[in-house]
Parts: sequence; C-alpha cells; structure tokens
Amino acid sequence: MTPEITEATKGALEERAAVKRREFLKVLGVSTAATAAVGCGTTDVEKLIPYLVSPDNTVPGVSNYYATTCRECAAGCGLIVEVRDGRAIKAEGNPSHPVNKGALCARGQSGMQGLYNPDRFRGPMKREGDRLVATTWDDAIGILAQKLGEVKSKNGGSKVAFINQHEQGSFPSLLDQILSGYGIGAHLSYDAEAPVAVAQANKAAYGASWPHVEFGAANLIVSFSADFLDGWGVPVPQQLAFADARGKVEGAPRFIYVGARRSLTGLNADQWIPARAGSELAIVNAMLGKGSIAKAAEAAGVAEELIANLAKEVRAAGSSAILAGGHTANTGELAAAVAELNKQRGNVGTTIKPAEGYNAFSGVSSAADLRALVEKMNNRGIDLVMVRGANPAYTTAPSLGFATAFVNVPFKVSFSSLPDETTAMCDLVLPDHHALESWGDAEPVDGTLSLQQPTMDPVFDSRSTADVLLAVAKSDPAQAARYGVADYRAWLANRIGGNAAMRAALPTALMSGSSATRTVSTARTPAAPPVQGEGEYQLLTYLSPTLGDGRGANKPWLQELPDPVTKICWQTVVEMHGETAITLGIEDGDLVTVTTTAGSLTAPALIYIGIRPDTIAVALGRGQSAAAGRYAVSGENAYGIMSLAEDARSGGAVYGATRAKVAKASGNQRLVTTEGSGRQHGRNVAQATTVAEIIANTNSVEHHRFDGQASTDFLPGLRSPVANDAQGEFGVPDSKDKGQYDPNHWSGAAKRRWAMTIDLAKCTGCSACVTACYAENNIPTVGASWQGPVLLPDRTGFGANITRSREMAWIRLERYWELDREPKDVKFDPAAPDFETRFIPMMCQHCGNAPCEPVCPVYATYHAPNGLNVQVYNRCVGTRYCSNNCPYKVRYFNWFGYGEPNRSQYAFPEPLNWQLNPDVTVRGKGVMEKCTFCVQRIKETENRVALEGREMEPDEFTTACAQACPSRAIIFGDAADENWSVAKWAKDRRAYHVFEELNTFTAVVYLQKVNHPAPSASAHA
Amino acid sequence: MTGRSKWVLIPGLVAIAIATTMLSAYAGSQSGADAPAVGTELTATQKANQEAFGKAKPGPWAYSGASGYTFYVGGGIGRSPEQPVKFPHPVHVNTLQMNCAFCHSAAGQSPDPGLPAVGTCMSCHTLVAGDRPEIQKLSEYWNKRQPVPWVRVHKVPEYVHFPHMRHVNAGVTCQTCHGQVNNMPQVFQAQSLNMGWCVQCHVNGYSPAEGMRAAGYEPDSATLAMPRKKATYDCATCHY
Repeated sequence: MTPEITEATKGALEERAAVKRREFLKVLGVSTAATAAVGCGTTDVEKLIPYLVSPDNTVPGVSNYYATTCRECAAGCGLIVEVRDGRAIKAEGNPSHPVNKGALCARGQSGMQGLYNPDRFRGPMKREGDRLVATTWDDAIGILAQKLGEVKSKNGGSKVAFINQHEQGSFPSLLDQILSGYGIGAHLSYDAEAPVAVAQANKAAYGASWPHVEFGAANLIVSFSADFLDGWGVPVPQQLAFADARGKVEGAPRFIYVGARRSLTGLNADQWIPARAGSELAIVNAMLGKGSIAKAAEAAGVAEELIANLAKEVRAAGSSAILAGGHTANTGELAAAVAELNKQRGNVGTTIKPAEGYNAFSGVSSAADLRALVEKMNNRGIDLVMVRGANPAYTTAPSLGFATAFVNVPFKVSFSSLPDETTAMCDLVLPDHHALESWGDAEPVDGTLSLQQPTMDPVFDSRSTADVLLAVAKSDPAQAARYGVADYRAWLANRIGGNAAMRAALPTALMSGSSATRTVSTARTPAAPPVQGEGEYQLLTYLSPTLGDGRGANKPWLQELPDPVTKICWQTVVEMHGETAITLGIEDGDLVTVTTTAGSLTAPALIYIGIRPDTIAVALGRGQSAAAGRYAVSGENAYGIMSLAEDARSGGAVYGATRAKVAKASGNQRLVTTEGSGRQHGRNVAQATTVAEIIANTNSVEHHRFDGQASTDFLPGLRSPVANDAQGEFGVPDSKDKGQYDPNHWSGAAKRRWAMTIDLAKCTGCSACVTACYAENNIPTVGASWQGPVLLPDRTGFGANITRSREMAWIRLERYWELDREPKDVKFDPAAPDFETRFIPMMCQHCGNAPCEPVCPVYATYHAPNGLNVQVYNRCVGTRYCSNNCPYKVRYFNWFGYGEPNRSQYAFPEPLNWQLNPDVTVRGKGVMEKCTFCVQRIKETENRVALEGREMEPDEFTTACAQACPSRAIIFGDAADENWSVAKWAKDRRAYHVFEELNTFTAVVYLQKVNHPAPSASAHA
Repeated sequence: MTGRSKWVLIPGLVAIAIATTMLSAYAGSQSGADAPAVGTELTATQKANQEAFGKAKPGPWAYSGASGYTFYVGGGIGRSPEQPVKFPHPVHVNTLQMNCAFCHSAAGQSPDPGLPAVGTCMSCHTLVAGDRPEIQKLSEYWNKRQPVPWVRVHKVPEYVHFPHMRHVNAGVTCQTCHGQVNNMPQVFQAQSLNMGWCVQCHVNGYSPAEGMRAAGYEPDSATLAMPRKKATYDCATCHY
C-alpha cells in the first residue's frame, strides 16, 4: 500500500472517466470473487479477469479509501470507505470529520448492506396492470418528461407533490429549483425519525435546532425521555461526548433518566425515575416553580421524594445538561420548558452549545405537513406525486390513511433505490443510486461542507435522481438554459468553486463552505388533536435503536443485531413489567394481543423491568410487507396499532401517545434472544465501582490477588507459564529450541502481546462494535427464516437458528441486571424503582493459558507467539470440544453452510457477497470460528511496514470494533510495548480480567464501570 | 437407485478415486515429464511443455489434498489449461527480454501479483504483430471492450493467504514457485503448492542459490555465500 493511498483517499474519479463507466464495472481486478468457502479445493475452472485499462492509483489486491458522507440518518457523519478492486467492502468513520471524528454506529456500518441489498431495483420499472415490469431508462425518463410537460402545459403545478427523504445538502435546493420550473411548489422533506417537536422548540429557545451538548462540562445530566444513545438526534456525536464525559471517572457527570421506559440511554443512567409518558412536562414545570412537586409526582406516578430530590440535585449541581425528548403531544412544550430550565441554570453556552450545533434537522417537514398532503390527495387535489427514499406508506399511523390516499393518485413516481411499501404502489420507478454510488454534499455543522462521492460504480442499472431531473429539465427548451451543466457532479463542482476545488477537497471530503440554501416554509400546519383511544395501558411504540423507523429492516446485519436493551433480534415483542405479566397471567414468550383504536397486534410478551407496569412498549420497524424486501418481513408492524399523534406545537410525529388494551392470546413463541441469563449470579463478569472507592483504593478488583502466582502484567511473549512450558523445553525435554516462542527469535514475534482494553465506564452497550465485526470478518447472519431448521414447529421462522443459540457474533454485548432475583419477580416500587445495568462486550479473550487449546485433538486452535489464540479453519474438524471448554463462550460453530452459495442457508445472497472482505476466509460448514483480534489487520500492517522498510508505529492500526466504537471504549494494541496506548490502559486502577481466578491469563483487560450514586442528603442542603 | 445402494456405492467410488489419485500422484512425482494425463494425443503445446517441465525441479511428493486443484494429478503439477489467447511467455521473456514485473506489476507491492490490463497488451500490439491470429483474438477483445477471460493456473485455497510482495521483496525468484514460465509455451503448474511444499522454505529457509538455479541460472559466488532467507512458520502466517 502506498503512503498517499493510506492518507485517507484519493479523488481520482475524474481520471476514471477515461474508462466508460459501464466498462469499469466489468473490470474487477484480478482477484476472482473469493467467495468459495473453506473446504477442499475445487476443479472448477476459475477465471482471472484483468482490467481493460488499469485505473490510475489502483493496485490489484490493495485497497483504496474514499471519503464520503453517510446518509443512513440525517446527521451526516463522515465515512472512509474501503474499496478493493472496484468494490466497496467496509465503511468506517472519517477521523477528520467534525461530526463523528472517526466513529461510526451500527446503522452507518450497514449502509454497505443497502448498497449490496439483494432486493434493490435492478433498473427502471413501469406499471403494467397490477405489476411493475422492467423498462429502459430512455422510456422511463420519457414518461417522466411527458408527465411533467403536461403539468406545465396545463398549469397544474399545484396538483403535484414531491416527498423526499429528509437530507442535508444542496440537492433539496436543486430539487425545488427544478420543481419550480414546472410551477410545482417546494418538496416535502419527510423523516419519520426526526424529532421535529424538540428541534423546533430548540430553534425557538436557543436559535439552533440541534445544539451540541457538552456532557463533559456538566456535573449532572438529566434526560426527560431524550434517548440520545438510541439513535435519536445525531447519535454518534452525542455518544462520543457522553462517553468522553463518563470516561473521566473523577468529575464525570452523574446521569438521571426520567421516562416511562428505560431505553438504552436510560440503562446508562445512574438513576431512573419512571415517570408516566407525558408527565415529564409537569416535573419540569415543578422544577421551574410553575407547579407543585406533589402534583408532578402524582402525574408521574412516582414517589414525591424522587422528584424533590431531582429538583434538589439540579439546583445543587452547578452546571448541568438537561435534555428533552418525549413521546406525547406535549413534547414541544416539554422541550421549551427544559430550554427555560437550562437557561435558568446557566447551562446555555457551557453544556448546551447552540453555536456548535448540528444542521441535521433544518428544513425537515412535520407529520402535520404530510397529513395536509394526504388530505389534499383525498380531495383529488393531487394528480402526480413523486417520492424518493421516504416510505410514508409504512412509517405512519393507519388512521392517517396515507396508503389509501396515495394509491388513488392518478400517477405516482418513485425514485427510491430500495423497494418499499410506498414504491410498490407507484406507476413508474426510476431507482436512484445508493448514497455510496452518488455525488452529493451536506453541511452537518455550520461552515463545513461534507462531500459525498461515489465509492464505486453502480451495482445495478440505477441513475442518480439529480441527473435524471437535470436531464428532464434540460429537455424542456424553456428551462435548458438554466442548467448548462453536464450532470449533478458538475453542478456541485460549480457551486463549490470548480473541479480543482472539488478534487482538492475529496481526499477528506471536507471543505469550508455551505450547501445551497433551501426554501424552508415557515407556514406550519396545525397539529391534529391526538387520538389516544382507550385502554388501561400506555403504548410506547418507539423507534428501534437498530432498525430506526424501519429503514434498516432489510439489512440482515441490523436484523441480527440484538436490540441493546431487550437483546431481541428478528422478532417483535411486547415489553411489559413483571407485575403486568402477573396481572395478565402470562410469562416470557406467551402471545398477547395489543388492541388500540387503530388495530391490533399479536406478539410474544417480554418481561422487562425497565418499564412502568402501566405502560407497554413495542419497537417500530419490523413486519414490513414483502414489497420491502426478504428480510424486512420478519416480526410485526407496530405502526399498525399506533394512533395518529402529533406534537401540539410543531405537528411533529410522536410515538407514545396511544392507549392500548392487552389480552392474553393463545399459544406462545420462543423469544429470539441472545440472552442466556440476565443476571451475573455472582460471577463478577461485569464489575463496577464508584469514584469514592477508587479514591480510597478499595475498588479491589480481582487483579494481582493470587499468592504464589505469576503477576498478570503483560510481558513479551506468552503470558502463561503453563503454556510456555508446553511450547518450550518442558514440552520436548531434550530440546532447548523454543522456535518462534523464544523472545530472542529473529522474527521478534514473541516480543509482542496483542491485547485489548475495554473501558466499561465509557461503553454504553450501543453494539456498533458488533456490526463492525460482522462487516470486517465475513460473519454470516443466521436468522432468516430459510436458514433455520424446518422440522420443529416451534423453531421455525425468522430467528429459528438464534433460538438454538446458533448466532455467530464474534463479539457480543452482554447486558446484566444487577438484581438479587429474576427480573420477572421484581415488584415495581414507585419510591425506589431503580436498578443497575451493566454492559460488557465479550469476545475471545485470547487467553495466555487458553482452555480451548489443549482439548483440540487436531491442533486447530493454538497459541501464536505474539499472544493470539489462533483458529486454523482448515485444521478444524468440528469436534466443538474447544467451545465446550471455553469459560467465556465466545466460540461459534458453523452448523450449516452459511458461507456456501449452493446451500439454502447461504448468508450472502448475490450481491451481498460483494461486500465480503477478501482478507478473511469465508468459513464453511462444520468449522469453529471466533474473534481473531482482526489478525488480517495485523498481517496487513506487518506487510505494509515490511514493504516500507520500517518498524510498526505504536497505535498504527486497530481492530474493526475499536475503530467503530462511538464511545471510544475499546483500545487495541501491543501490551508488551510501553509505547502503545493499550499498555498504559492495561495498568489502569480499574483494570481487571474476567474470570481471573481460572488462570486463563486473558489478553482482554476490562476497566470497571463507574457508578455515580446520589450525593448524600447533606450535600443537597 | 435405492438409498441403500447409494450408501454402498458412494464410499466405494470415493475409495477408488482416492486410490487412483494417490497412485497417479506417486507416478507423477517419479516421472514428472508425463504429468499432464489428459487425452492421449499430445498437442504441440503439450509436447513443448513436457520438454520444459524437465527443467523445473519437480515438487516433493506430499499429500496434496490442500492444494487449490486437488483432483489434478500430482496435486495439480503439470495442470495446463488452454488459454483464450495463446500468450507465449517465451517470446516475451526470453526473446524480448521483458521483466516479469512489466506485466505482473503488482507482485512487488500487493498480495495479488496482478494481470496486465488488456490496454497494457494493446500498448504494443496496436502496432506489433497485428496480423497474427492470436493477436487478432486479442484485438477483438479490446475492440469489444471486454477483458480477456484468462484461465487460472495457480491457486492456493481460500483459507491460505499468500502475499506475493513479501516473497518477491525477500528475493524469492518467481520460478521457485511458478517454474520456468519463461520456457512454457502454455503455462502449467510446476509445483504442487501444497502445504508440505510451502513449509520447506518456511521452516528451513529459502536458499537464494537454489532459487537462482530454479530460474535457470548458475548462482555466482556471492549468491552461494548468501545465508538462507528465514521465514516464519506460525500457522497464522498464512491461515486466518
């Protein structure tokens, strides 16, 4: 790898233009698609396909890196996409990007599975009768041009609407400009996930719709249902700032979460005040002196003391960060009240920083705006509707009637790249490129332009919507003069100072500047009065932290990623408190029917202690129609039981304002969960301490506590005296040759000790590391219904393999409740509802004295001199003894041929297999696998430094999990070399090894979580 | 066929296949020259290959189950698929004195050695020898804007990671593994590429003198004096 390529990127797409684009797609370098699995060789004739013309700056087998902008949510994080031989294979955060600073969430990682989604449109389609059939681009663009021409000639612009997935950047402005050429009004910028109510209240109060929250400057964080770690708002920068603050240990802010359901954000809080949904406003008002604490406590359904103490703590805290979320129609009012409280406490400018705010939600339309369009459609006021990316037919309450109104519009055009319910109703589909194939820009923070460039040639016969619209506009003689550019890329380049400026910016995809201003309509549609309906339970239908509003549902990585809170994957469950379950007479997995005015849903119950007994919760995003793809159909659609609810002030969508009846249904279903036990049973896997204990040095971890045993500090080479003997002279008594295990061996292999530290004070349990690992290591997803066993009726359907613990996640997030009894037996106490949760990422611990190694009859797993516990797939015969003997349960067995294309269990249907990392073997059936500490990255770096004739620099590379971690909790490196960060962290005063008492001498060091209990009563006074 | 008779038949066939493979592998290693056991009539190319084959050092006999082309005689030694364009290495290397890295330019920088882009061929062949039938085939691909679908000759299994640049930069001659491709009218596999063969160098070290001999040169005194080049033999060197 040449240095200029490692320096992030190159923007040589200009040069690529020399080769015609379609041809470039054919030339995929010399590596044949390396998807064949482990197994004996093949007699198949394999072809080596050369380039037609070798692109500049490309070496076959060596990755190029392109900087671009993530479009999976509105935040606009920076990406560095690794491209090997013309195919994008991995998305990572861009370290120089001001928003995500190198980190990337699970959904950002999964953009890759949108790009290679097997259900993507192959090309343009048009409706013939009741189905969509393939057509040519000329035909499709011709139809669109004709329709728009009719609009113009009939002066019918007011009867046309365009619904675009809300996005930042210049495209919305260009879109409006082109639409106005036909007399069409501004488009609707729709985003079901956008917290419109809060953004508008913020804008009014702070002057910025999404201020940066400097958690590190606060002594106390209070969140009123603001789920800033669950994908709400701008997830990555929020998590970076939060984890950074909590990682300070001494002086880290205490965190109180107020909300009816303890979300992932709530589980990270030191204290939970389970206030009823909608009652947060009363609490904030009481704290502002606008109401009594007793009344607020009554509305919230918790003990008065909790609210009183909260008010006291906020008063005593000095600087605090108070955040508003909310689920009900008073969310906007709550956000305004919280802003007032922040101002009163002097937090604006110190913890709440409007000047450093994010532009994610500027220009977003509200749910009320969409409702106004639906009314217009119902009144036959719309003749032509165009939609791009957004899927309101799925992401809205049934009583809105979007689908019925939409289907009756005479002509409907979709520009969506991926199929969905809305597009399925359209008459013409002109699929857009995926974001990773497109040009674009975003202005995520004021003054910084984050460019978006194609990372590869289009996978399918799609076309950029901007280019299609420009082509249509140019075909209209009256408008052609306005668009004197070849395409959207040229239009963008002109905006930002020409091709040279663009080329100069593309290596980091960052430049100073701003995107084209869009027309933001200030006219707000008034909110509809909420329809709560009847029922004894408050129903919280919440946006899934993994699937969002459902846009992630057709990506198997995200379906297989267990929800960080419930640990459920592939399935929809009804979350309820243990007391509720007793009232209903049900247990985990029993089917319940939730009935609201909108409809009913039957799904298995999940007992969850972090929810009020008068509240139930169902995650949104699953149970889509077959039109949305093969994976998206799993689970149940919770939008279907949601009543229409809008924030009273802003008209923004709110998702928790429905009343529901719950009844036991017959039968039960196995929960598709990766959780074994929710408790630690005294095993001290995830340890925690407090600041007071650390200062007093009484946080005695089980570290260094064994009399007569060797120190567990990391030394070069093998740590374990036992393993050392086996490899060395004691293993072969007449040999003095330790080979590569000799610290003085010429290779220097035994001078290293690859190791990892994980700071549990920072880890929020978000699980971005899990998806990063899937992406890097070709880990198969196993939960699709066709991958599962078919014989047992209770183990079929989506997640069947996972009900048999056959998931393959090399790294998993353990989530433990610190309880003295089973969660279902916990009673809800309004005076003391709190419980502690601990998250701990668990992967192969690369033990110095590994229990898996001596039991392998074929030496398929062994200890490498550099400290790695290596799994040699081609040696493995699948006895599974190693897995049986592993105390950490981190070894995963290929029960089926997930990596073999001719099997029904194949996990990478074309073209998902294009994403496979060529540096990592795709494992076959009957082979054991586990975390390798990203050995391919170690090898790649070793190869690179050898090529460049130098020594490896400290912290030169890291593993995929550490790279992605938006908490920066994972540090990887050589613990035997003082210059690597990991060596310093491994000696931290909170450091411990899991199960140290087993003498496994693990290479993974955890740093204890730090709890921040309430200050003693005297401190409040 | 009933299920029962299948279960008798399949292991039987497998046993026969294994026995045949092992026998012919043994035979192949004893007399490498007649290795390509396909067909009875030998083409001119095959004859030329047989002559060239004798010049390459035959690989040691070893279990060949792990090499890329398992079911070929001798673990694939002598396997010589016909190529879509009969590219003559001898003309380019011996006659025109072109360096291997002129076409396989990535071999020193990348795990993949790289094949020349069709454009690289055409940089000479738009002018040179355009009247020959094989060049006309090449031009046809070029004019149709299609890459030439070369048939792979050398392959290690997917679970083996072979970084070319580490070997090339360590001074391992191309011929050590690939045989004297410069003398092969049609490229064939000269070594078994199985693990037993790999670890010869990885355990004992690579002798620059032997590498030079493999390339067809008599080593000079400086090369003879060079120590064996060491290599690591940890499993994870190649398997991950």
